[in-house]
Amino acid sequence: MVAIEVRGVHKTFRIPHERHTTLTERVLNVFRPTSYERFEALAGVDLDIERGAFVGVIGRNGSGKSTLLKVMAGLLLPDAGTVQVEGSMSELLELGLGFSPELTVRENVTLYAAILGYPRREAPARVEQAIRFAELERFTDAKLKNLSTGMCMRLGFATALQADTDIMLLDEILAVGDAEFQHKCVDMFHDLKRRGKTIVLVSHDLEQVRQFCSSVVVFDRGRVVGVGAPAAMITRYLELVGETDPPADAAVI
Amino acid sequence: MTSSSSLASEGATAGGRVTPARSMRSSRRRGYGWLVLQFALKDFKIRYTHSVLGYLWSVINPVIFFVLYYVVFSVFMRFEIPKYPAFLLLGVVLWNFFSEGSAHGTGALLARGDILSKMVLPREVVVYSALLSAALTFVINLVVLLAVLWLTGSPLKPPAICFLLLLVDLAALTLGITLLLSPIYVRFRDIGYLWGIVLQAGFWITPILYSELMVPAKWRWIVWCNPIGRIITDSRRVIVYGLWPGGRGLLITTLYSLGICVVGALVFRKLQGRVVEYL
Repeated sequence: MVAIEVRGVHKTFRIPHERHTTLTERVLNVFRPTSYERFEALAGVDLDIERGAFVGVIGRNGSGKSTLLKVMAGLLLPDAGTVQVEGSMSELLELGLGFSPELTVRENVTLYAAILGYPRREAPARVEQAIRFAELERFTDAKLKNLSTGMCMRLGFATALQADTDIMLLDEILAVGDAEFQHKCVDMFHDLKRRGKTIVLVSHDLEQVRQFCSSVVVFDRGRVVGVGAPAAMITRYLELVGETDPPADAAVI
Repeated sequence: MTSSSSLASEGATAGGRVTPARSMRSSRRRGYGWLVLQFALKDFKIRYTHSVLGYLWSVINPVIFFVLYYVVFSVFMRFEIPKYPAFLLLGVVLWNFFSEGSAHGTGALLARGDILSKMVLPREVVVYSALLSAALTFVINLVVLLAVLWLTGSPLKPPAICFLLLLVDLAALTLGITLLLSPIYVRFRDIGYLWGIVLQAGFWITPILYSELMVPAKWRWIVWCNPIGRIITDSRRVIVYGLWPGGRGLLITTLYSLGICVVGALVFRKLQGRVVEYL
């Protein structure tokens, strides 16, 4: 059973060399048309993601991983090709979207829950659950600005993972906070896996990818250059990085 | 992996298709009303943090301007308008909702760009919530208005029922303009400055401080062409003077506002798909 089917997806961004955002700039530059850099983020991607799979997506910076996630989520429209999704989906591309330092922990989580689309009736209970998971019950009515960065991340993570949809798209979101909390996150992911959730994870943390993913997709220059078992694909990716980049850059990734 | 041969056609919507099982998605979200409300409440709360008087400012501000206008136009300039306090306050309150709502709403897509570029939400949600936030202030102001009506000895009469329709017109007009401007504003920031000027000019061209009857007959068409002017004029008739409005005039006002709302909605629908790429 396929959860996400990607067929022949192309996405090209036109990046203006100098962007004219005001009308005056446009008028002044009318005889000097804006020149564009064409950047082909996705160059014909075909991909099937099976239901219940935990798929890791790896590749160098700018290889199109995040663009693929956004196209899957429906945030970006592909220039050509189709994406079919079976089941409910949540896209967690950033933790704590819409968090505001001036609101309390509960107010923030409630707003985030609404953004994530929790059913309204279940929301209050799930909000409490998220705060409990983040171990921030003591700060429920404190303003977010009084919390540490790590605590905010924990809160965002806990709320996001409460979304409980069939498919989850994660961009560099796996384990946050201190070692103890990270351990809890790891348990949570094992639990999601057991419950048959489909998860697509974009990550540069090869160790996490090896640990969690049932299969791995390697991306390069907007194309899928390999699909298979984690160990083999990580090797493939490292070869790819070694081929074209100096080793120093590989360390950055 | 098979490579597709079709070429990228940047900027065109044709060809590309994302079908994330819309029905599934909507089963996850049964209506966005709750989200609209949450956004609006957040706006409203944040606006008054760090102020001692808090929500009171949403009353104090219009009241201070009301007193100022009253002194200048009624005491200094001797406008001979019956029931001028209620007349003036109603005009100011209606105008404030229109100007605040449209100004905030126009910037809403950009203000919430961080969320819109990371989550799949109907983009109009942020526009609705900006207007709802302005509506909260508006409702508080209406309560003050009722108090003033009561204090100045002009209680509501049956024609006041027409005010409900005029409120619908006001909401439709404000929503229509906001839906029209907000996606354009994302691409051209000029719209923000331009609309600011239109609002300032509109404040003087619209009969808010004065009566439409003070406008020479040959210029009165300007008032009738102005949808917010029509709404304010009719509202005064039914609320302040307790008179029934002209049926034809009211119909034109309603069709006018709804027409603008429909145009705004169509433009928004056309432009919203690629808004994210300009945020």
